[in-house]
Amino acid sequence: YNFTDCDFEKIRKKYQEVIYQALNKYMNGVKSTEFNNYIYCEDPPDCLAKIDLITFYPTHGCTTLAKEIFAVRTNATLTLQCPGYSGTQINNTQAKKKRKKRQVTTNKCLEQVSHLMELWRRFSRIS
Amino acid sequence: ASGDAGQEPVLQVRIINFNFETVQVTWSPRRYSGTNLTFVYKLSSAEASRPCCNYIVHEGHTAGCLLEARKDEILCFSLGNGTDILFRKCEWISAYLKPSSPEQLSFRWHEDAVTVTCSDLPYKRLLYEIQYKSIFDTEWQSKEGETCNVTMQGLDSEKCYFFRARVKTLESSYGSDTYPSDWSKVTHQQRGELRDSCQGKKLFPKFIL
Repeated sequence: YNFTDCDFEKIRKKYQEVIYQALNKYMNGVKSTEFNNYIYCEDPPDCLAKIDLITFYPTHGCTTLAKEIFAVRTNATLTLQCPGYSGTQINNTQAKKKRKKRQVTTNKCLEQVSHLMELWRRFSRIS
Repeated sequence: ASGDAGQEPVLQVRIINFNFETVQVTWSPRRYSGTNLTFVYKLSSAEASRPCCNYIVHEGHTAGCLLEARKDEILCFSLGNGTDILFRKCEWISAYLKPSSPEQLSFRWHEDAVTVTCSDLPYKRLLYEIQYKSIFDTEWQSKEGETCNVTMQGLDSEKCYFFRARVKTLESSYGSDTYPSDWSKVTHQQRGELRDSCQGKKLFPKFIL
């Protein structure tokens, strides 16, 4: 999916209103600068493409991000603000069920979410 | 900034990005004091790595590097003692931003309110904080805005007021390791006019209890 036609301003506002706190809550005090690697995105579409990839596509060692609250909100925001974006079919009740049955957050997932935070920050600075 | 997550850092490294003009990286070697460490860096917009060409020297040894960095990009750097790399890090330089102080505050009084404006910095997601107090107040009052155009109400224009301003970054856009700008110089205002100071004759407030 090409994120060029998304409404970046609205997505940025949604990030600052509801997604940022959920990401922060997930990190639970672990600072994203503690992970000694970084991720770059050039412009808003590139940032959103990488955010979409990390949030919704499982990787080795971290397969569960798509059900997290920040992912549900990201999915809802992109579906609303990006014409033609289909997104993943995760609804709020699944996310709530997940919150009750809290799995141990793997270090790999913390690293992935720290990357997400860097991408979202970069996206908000340039859009 | 520190070395690999979780381990006791070999070096205490500090990064300050002065208004996207100059980046200062300083280090204090715990176990390597008395050693001249070499700093090699690469900016994401640059083709290749390069050694520091503007060292900060303290007590005869390298203690920091000043480098030009004009845009929001990633700085990767390493510190070594000539044989081993002791520290390696990559960071967005925006994560350590210290904006420059606001300048040339201007004031527009309208009844009991004043709007303070100054020129916005060329990058986004900042908070412009204006502080003010009269000669009868001991504490500064604060008001913030996302642009340098902040209105404060409930003032008594007969009184003499002190004003100052600074710039902070939005944590959701820059993270929590940035620095607020220094405060601007204090400006004095009374009856809608600039004053050299507020010391002058003590003016009684309009309403005497």
